[in-house]
Amino acid sequence: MNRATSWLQFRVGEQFHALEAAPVRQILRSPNLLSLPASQRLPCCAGMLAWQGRPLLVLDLGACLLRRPSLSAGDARFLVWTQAQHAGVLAVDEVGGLLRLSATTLTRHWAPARPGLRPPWNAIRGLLHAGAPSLAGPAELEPADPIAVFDVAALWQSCWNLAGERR
Amino acid sequence: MKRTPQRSLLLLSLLALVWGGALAILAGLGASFALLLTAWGAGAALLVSLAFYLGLSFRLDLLQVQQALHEAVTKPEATAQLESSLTAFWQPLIDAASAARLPVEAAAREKAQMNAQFAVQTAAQTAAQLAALQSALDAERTQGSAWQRQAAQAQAELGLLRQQAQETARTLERAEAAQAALAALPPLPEPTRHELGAMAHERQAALAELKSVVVSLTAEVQKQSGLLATQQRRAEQLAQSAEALTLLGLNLRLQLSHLAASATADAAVIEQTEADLDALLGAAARQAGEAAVAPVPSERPAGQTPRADAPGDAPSQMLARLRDVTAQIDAITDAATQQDERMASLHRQWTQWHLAAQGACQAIAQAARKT
Repeated sequence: MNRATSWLQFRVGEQFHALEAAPVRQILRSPNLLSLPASQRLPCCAGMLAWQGRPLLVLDLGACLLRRPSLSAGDARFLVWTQAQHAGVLAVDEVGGLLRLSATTLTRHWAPARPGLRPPWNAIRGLLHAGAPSLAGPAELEPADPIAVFDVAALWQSCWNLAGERR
Repeated sequence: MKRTPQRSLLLLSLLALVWGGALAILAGLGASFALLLTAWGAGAALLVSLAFYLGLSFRLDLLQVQQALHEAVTKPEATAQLESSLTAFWQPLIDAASAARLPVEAAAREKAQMNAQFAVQTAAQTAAQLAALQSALDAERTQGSAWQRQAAQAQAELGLLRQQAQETARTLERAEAAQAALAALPPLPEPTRHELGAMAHERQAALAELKSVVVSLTAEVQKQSGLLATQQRRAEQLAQSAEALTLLGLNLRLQLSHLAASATADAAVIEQTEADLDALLGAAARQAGEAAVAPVPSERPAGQTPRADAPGDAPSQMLARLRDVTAQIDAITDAATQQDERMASLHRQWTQWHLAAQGACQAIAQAARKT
């Protein structure tokens, strides 16, 4: 990992997390959402979104992780991600800056997650703990706060499975 | 043969003749003297004894006649039996006595009848007198009870009059005390009334001046509030622009990171562009943060209390305070007006009451003195 890796910070509730910035294609604010039938019974599924001619399913990450919908705050951000043939939208409370850490820095402040976590927390790849320098200007991270780094595809799948279980 | 006085006298005469003849015979025959004396003595004794006996029997007959006459009056049925025991010699005497007694008895019966009638009349008169006396006694009793009732009523009226007199005396004392108290009361404070009026006018004028100041201040604050609202709208628009710019910069930053990941990209140029973009995003984020310090009241989340030092809320708070102050001034003015009116009314009532109380006390005192 000689090249720098970028992570996009986001906030869900009072928790700050991050996910790899490479699959994230765009950050939207207040897009037009198409509500799904029986959306009251599926708080994780926020609706459908048209992005570049493609219909994408929007999952509420706050509802999936904390059982508190991010869309209820009224100022949510929508992260459009694509990876191979998969694509989707994750709704979060707020989006922070980009974190770009070099490989050397990452090895010092990176702690891989142990397997066995319950979904959707099993999508966590590792923790960026205290002292990780931020390369992006607007990144607001407290040095003592560890940040859970998610794999976006795994997070999406886990949230989708969780929505299916709750369904 | 029943014994009668004539027959008894005849028997005694015959015996005397026999005695004298016997003595004459004996003397003629020459009887001795002793014998003659004995015969004379015996004959004389026998005659005397017979005369005594006849006298006694005559006396007994008189007693029987007297008894027969008495029984003829008391027991007429027993008269025949008694008369049968008497000789007929006494019958004329009895008849004469009876004949003489009939008028006496009739008179006695008449007298008794008259006495009975008189007694009946007397009894009737006595009964009538008794009834009259009884009715008179009842009337007297009724009159007595009526008099007793009248006496009790008079006693009660007397007690009532005494009580009224005592109450009148007490009323008179109270009236005199009230009159004395009223006389001791200070005169009506006319100067104080004028002073109160002057103070009320001054207070009203001060309140009106204060209200005009508050109204002008309210107008000024409203004007400033309008200006501040305009500025706030501009700041809001600026914050929205900054937020949109931040989002745009973040998307650009994402695209740059994607571009930097490609093998054909010039890393130095991209890194310089990313640094410039990060500086721009930082400035935009700071501006957005400053704009977020004073949120628009309409966008403030529900339940969040406004900050005292927020510049956007200060004019509205000041306006609210000024409105409150204006309302309080109006309320104070109204209360002062009502209090002045109440004071004037109380003053008038006090004057009227004072005069009425004096008149009433004088009237009560006069009435009590008359009573």
